[in-house]
Amino acid sequence: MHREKRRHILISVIQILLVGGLILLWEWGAKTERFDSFYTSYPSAIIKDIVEFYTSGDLWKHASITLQEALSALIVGCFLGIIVAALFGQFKILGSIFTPILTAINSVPQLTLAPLYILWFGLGLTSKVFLAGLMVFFVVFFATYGAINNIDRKLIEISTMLGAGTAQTWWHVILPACMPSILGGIRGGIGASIVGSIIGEYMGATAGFGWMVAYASSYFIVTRVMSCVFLLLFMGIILNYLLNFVESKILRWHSQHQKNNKLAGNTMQEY
Amino acid sequence: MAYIEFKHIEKHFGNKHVLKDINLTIEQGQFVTLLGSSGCGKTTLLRCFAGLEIPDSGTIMLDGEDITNKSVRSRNLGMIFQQYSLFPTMTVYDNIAFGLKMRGVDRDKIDKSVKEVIKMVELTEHTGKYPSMLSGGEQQRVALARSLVVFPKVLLLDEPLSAIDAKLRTELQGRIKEIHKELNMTSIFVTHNQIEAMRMSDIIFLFSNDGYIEQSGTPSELYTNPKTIFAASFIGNYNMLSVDEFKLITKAEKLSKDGTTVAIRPEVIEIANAPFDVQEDLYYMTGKVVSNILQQSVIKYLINVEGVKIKVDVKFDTPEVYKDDEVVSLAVNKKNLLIL
Repeated sequence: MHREKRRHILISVIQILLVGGLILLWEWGAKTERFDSFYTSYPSAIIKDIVEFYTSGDLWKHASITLQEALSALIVGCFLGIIVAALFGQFKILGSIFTPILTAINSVPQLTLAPLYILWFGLGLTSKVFLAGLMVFFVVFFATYGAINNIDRKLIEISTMLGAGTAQTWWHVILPACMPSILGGIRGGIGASIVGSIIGEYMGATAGFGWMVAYASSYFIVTRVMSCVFLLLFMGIILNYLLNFVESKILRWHSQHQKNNKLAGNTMQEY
Repeated sequence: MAYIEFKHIEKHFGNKHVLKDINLTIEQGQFVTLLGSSGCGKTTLLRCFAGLEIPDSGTIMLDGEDITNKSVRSRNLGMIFQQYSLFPTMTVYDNIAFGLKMRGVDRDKIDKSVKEVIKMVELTEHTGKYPSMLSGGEQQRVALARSLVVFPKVLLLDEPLSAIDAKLRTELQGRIKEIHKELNMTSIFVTHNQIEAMRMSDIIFLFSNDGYIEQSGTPSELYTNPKTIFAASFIGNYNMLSVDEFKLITKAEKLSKDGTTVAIRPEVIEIANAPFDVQEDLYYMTGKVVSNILQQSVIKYLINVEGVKIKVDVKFDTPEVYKDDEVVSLAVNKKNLLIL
């Protein structure tokens, strides 16, 4: 079997054993009263609660709201992040003026601003999308802007010499070359969109996982809190998996490049 | 009228005066080299021609048209960089087809042209590969193909072979020269490597370190008749001696011309282990062999003549090789001295 494949299998087995072992240990500890499960709940109770959550119809109600907020924020944040980075990349003066301002704004924790957004946009969808969208925007913007600034200028020069206009150069050369960084930004944006939505719901909402967590916490229903945590984890895994799929389709050149770099690295190590 | 003309080109980068009153002309179909050391302005001049830099003053003419301020994309020039600069996201085929696609050529014509040029640069097996899957030499051939496929008015080569190993570089030099002959495409080549310049060029423009053109001419003209000390030291592997040193080692009393430096090519010095017959048109020296190195078909001697090191190149067609510390006689014809 190929050495690389064997390594992958080994890593997967270790991961499954580690996570599975921890879950079993958790369950065993709670059932044998090694610790007080009031504070942590335990896996079988969480699974049971998720099933109840689902059959009551509440799961889909809350999940759909959080998903709607997170996905809207992800789409708006990514779109604006990429567009603004491209504008700043094309018109350097804009980048010089606004990048330090955006950096300063980004350093303010969004948590502190969440009450303001609720005040401005109300308890509904808009305030959550604004908050989460802003968080996504910053992650995607900085990843994209950095990639645009670091692109090999000669690629742009040769593209122009070969007859490409500005828009063609952006579409065919710059954006594809920046795609690994952009997708890296979007990956960070997925996390930011979920966190942003939850923070928004936490601060003030009528439904959603964040609201549910706040509600369950206030009544010390730890099992429900843990159910929401695992469901959010699952949501994040699914979104990341989808992104991996997209990445493998549009970054074939990059995976080849990385493979070659890895080979070169291995060769160097042999010496 | 010349195909390309640079008239009084000046260029500054901040306080640095990079190009000083550059005037040169290039005929259609010529392979011209801009030769000089790093930072001498040769690449800046090439970039001015490509439109990637705008000269502070002066005019650039191409085929009778003033292109000094013309946009880059409408100049129709091909360019190859040292670091290949292939589009990493595109396959070999798409890299080569890029220029034609941007020009709106229809798909069948693109396919035909790309296949022809891929064949020309011998990359048929690699069309579906990405640049990262190719060796340096293969990548540079893709870059060459990408520039050639659009039939540029002039092909610009900015140190294209500097990042390639010596053996492959010689092969690529030959390939580029063959293609140049085949297409008769006017080409401007930038290099700091005088051997490469000698091998490839019809005309060489030698840049001084101060942004001037020191001398221009065919490779043999530059090699056999450098006009300045800088040209002699840059172009050939000359023995550069002060007049006093030369008089000391040859016992010459007077030279035919005034100057400060005597330049002698290593291959015009004769060497023997016995004294030469005295002739009026020869200068003589006697010294000891310091080293002998066999380089391909040439033996390169270093001879110590009264404390002055003299380089002597001898064609390796005789079994006689002088050993270290062996006393040898040297002779050089007066007509082979360059007094600068």
